[in-house]
Amino acid sequence: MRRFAPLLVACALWSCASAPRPRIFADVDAASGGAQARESKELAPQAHAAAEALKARAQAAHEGGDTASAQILSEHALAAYARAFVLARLARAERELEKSTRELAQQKSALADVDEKLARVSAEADDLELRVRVAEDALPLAPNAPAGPEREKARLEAARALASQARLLCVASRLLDPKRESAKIELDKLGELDRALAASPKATPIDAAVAARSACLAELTAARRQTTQGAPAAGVADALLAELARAGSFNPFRDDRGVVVTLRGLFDAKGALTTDAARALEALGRVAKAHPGFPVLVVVHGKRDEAREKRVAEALGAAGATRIEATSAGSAQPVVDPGRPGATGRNERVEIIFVAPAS
Amino acid sequence: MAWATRSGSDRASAEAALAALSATPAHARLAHEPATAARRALTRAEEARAAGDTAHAPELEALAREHAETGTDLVRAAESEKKLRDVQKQLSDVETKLSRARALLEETLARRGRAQAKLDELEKARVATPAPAAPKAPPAQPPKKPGKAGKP
Repeated sequence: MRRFAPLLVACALWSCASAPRPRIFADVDAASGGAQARESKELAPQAHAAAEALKARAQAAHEGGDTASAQILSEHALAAYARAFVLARLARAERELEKSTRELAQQKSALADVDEKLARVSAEADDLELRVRVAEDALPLAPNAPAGPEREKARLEAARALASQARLLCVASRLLDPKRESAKIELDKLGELDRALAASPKATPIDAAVAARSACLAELTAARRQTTQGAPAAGVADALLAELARAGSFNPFRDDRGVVVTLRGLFDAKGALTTDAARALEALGRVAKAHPGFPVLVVVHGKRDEAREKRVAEALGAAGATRIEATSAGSAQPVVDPGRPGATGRNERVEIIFVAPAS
Repeated sequence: MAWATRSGSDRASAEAALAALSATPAHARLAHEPATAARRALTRAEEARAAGDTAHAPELEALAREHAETGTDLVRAAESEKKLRDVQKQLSDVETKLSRARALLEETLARRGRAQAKLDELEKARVATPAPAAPKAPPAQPPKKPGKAGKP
């Protein structure tokens, strides 16, 4: 009997030992102890806790001898860990998304600020550069020495053209800012210059004419400055130019004064507006009405005739233009040599100028 | 009874989640693995019931639900990650634009400074050299009295 005692003890121990641990438990342990589990414990704590609970239930089932339940619950625990990892990934993505969205909003706001500042500084730089050009233009040139009669004649024509241009620039400036006292002073000076030129002096005051044009251009620039700084997105004149160009029949262009439309053959033999002219002026008057920021300057070139100026201004006003001034440039600004055959027809014209409120 | 209801609920939930995943091919592709595992678990639950193992069938249905919902969460995670990528792309674009705008602003500030300096210089030159004065116009002639003109 003693000889069999160890064998009996061994048999008793064997029968009392629990069933072997299923292999899947090792997989569950690996899932439970990995880096992903640590992350999911932090980012998806509920899902992680559910997986841990399933693991515990599987262990309990195993200890209770229910091998099938232990197997199924272990599988469930593994699936729950996998789900916890996915939820941790989701939480991480959402956290990053929130952070990036916040950063995006901040960067967009910063970009809008920089764009706004850029537009303002750019407008200021444009304005200063324009003032530099005007100032350079206004710098007194070396005085012109007296010349021979032919040259003096050419100088006289040039001085008349410059004085006429100066007047139109000053009038444009006054249209933009009727309270501008300095423009009135320049216009008074121009009156004096015109009288001097009309007297056909022996020494033409060409330097004074150049200075007068520069001064009037400076006046116009100054009158526009406030508008330019108030609305840095300049380009209204280009927009109007494009609109008139689209209309098809006006051939508009831009110069220092603004957007210019040149019309010819407006009057019949009696000096009344032709039907085509009335139609064109009505269309331009409607444009002026649609762009109240642009005052209209009417310039009649050729024979001086106040009645013609008045008729054109009235036609524009009837179509809705409100700020209109009409003037005559006489023969001071011919487009072709007045001595050439047919020159009169080319030189006699009416300019409708939409004075640009900004540079 | 409550246990039976939960089991039925697990099956119904798993089947609903699987149906939703199958409805969108992109989602079905994305959640292929957990969906397959969920279907397998449902089949095992049916087989367990058929064999009279009513104790383990509900556990298998709960397992199926876990897999199916993992598939749904996987789709949500992928969508969220896609949104994140889109926002990060936008962020990168805006950062590039901002960087360029700042550089342009620096250039424009320098341009404004140069123009201001030039203008100051011209102003000094203008003050130093006065512009030519307009010539004096000849005195206006008094109007001739009618009737006297042309008379010797």
